[in-house]
Amino acid sequence: MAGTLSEIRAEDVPNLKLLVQLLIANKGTDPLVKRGLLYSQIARLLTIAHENRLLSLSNESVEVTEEGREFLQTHGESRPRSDGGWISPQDSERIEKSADEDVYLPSKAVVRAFHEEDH
Amino acid sequence: MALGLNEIQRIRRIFEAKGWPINEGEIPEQKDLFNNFCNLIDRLGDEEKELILLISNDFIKIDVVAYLLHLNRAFFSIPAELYKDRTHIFCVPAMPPKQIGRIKSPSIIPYQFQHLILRQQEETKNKKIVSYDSLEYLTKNHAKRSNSILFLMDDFVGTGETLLQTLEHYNDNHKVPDEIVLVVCIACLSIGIKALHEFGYGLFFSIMQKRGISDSIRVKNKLLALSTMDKMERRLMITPLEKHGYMNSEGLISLIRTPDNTFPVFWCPTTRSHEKWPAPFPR
Repeated sequence: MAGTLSEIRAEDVPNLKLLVQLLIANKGTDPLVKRGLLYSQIARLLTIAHENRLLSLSNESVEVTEEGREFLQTHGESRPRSDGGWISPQDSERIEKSADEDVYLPSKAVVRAFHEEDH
Repeated sequence: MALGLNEIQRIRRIFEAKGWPINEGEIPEQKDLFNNFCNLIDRLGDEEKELILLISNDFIKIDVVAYLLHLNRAFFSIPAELYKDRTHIFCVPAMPPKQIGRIKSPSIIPYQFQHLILRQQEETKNKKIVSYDSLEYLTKNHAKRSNSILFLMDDFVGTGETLLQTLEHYNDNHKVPDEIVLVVCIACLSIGIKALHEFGYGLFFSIMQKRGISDSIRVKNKLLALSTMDKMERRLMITPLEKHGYMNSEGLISLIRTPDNTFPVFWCPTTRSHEKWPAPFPR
């Protein structure tokens, strides 16, 4: 049974995303462990994900819910890499999408950086 | 390979059912319980994992905060006829001569039993009740005691060996005519009760546990389970006497300390190749 909805904290979002992705891909928790998470912290993520209905828990299994898939869509999907790692968008660098007719004028520093790359 | 989410969920379920803490940091001794338990499962082959997860459902963990509750239950299992006409009650930890003077797990029991139980109960509170830390002090102060009852106390009785040594020491050196001797503990193994009964002693307790595999209702193929356990134990730095728990006790229990009667996979800290073994219930 899912408990009362608890708010997902911003710092938990990247790990929750990875958790849901691993579940969909039916993978082990190595990528979470590689991020430095302890099993008790992964268990805590399971609880948060369950309380927010991102997944359903039974005695022996964990399954992704529709809400879980929507959560991924909302926060940007990631793809598995051939070496077993995961590529995820770096949310902190995300910017507003420009409209088709918008003109983008880069700052001098950015232009200079482009030129430096050429040399 | 780290554990899968399904495996973590299975372990989480066991912990929830048992009321064991999952998140570290609340009580120091329990800090790493969940992580070590998961790391233990992670170290095992498929059959071994299944066995440990299965028998862990019968694992009993008694925290020190629950000692009083269990002592109370043990007290109420004693028929009142045994003590109601007695004028003196003595409480002494069950320690064989070679351990006298050391603070061992039985040491903390008599004081609680005297003040928090016997002194509170209608049937016993008006009697003369005294606790000593050894039979030597009891005899020194009450050599000519009469109409007394002696509670020999321990938190845990495994094979019963320690208690039988204590009782032998009592019979040889401290026995007085007409004293009733009762053994009281928080938890015991069925093999311990049997050993004491064979010598004519009764045991009063709160929790009794049968052998974790040989007497298990959950484990269907016991021979296979015991050989799976052997396979795990061959990797551990243990003595031949400790196989399947001291003298084949097959215990699944932890109190303030985990007794060596418990299967060593749960408490042994080192492998034969001197690596760390992630024991969830270290001694």
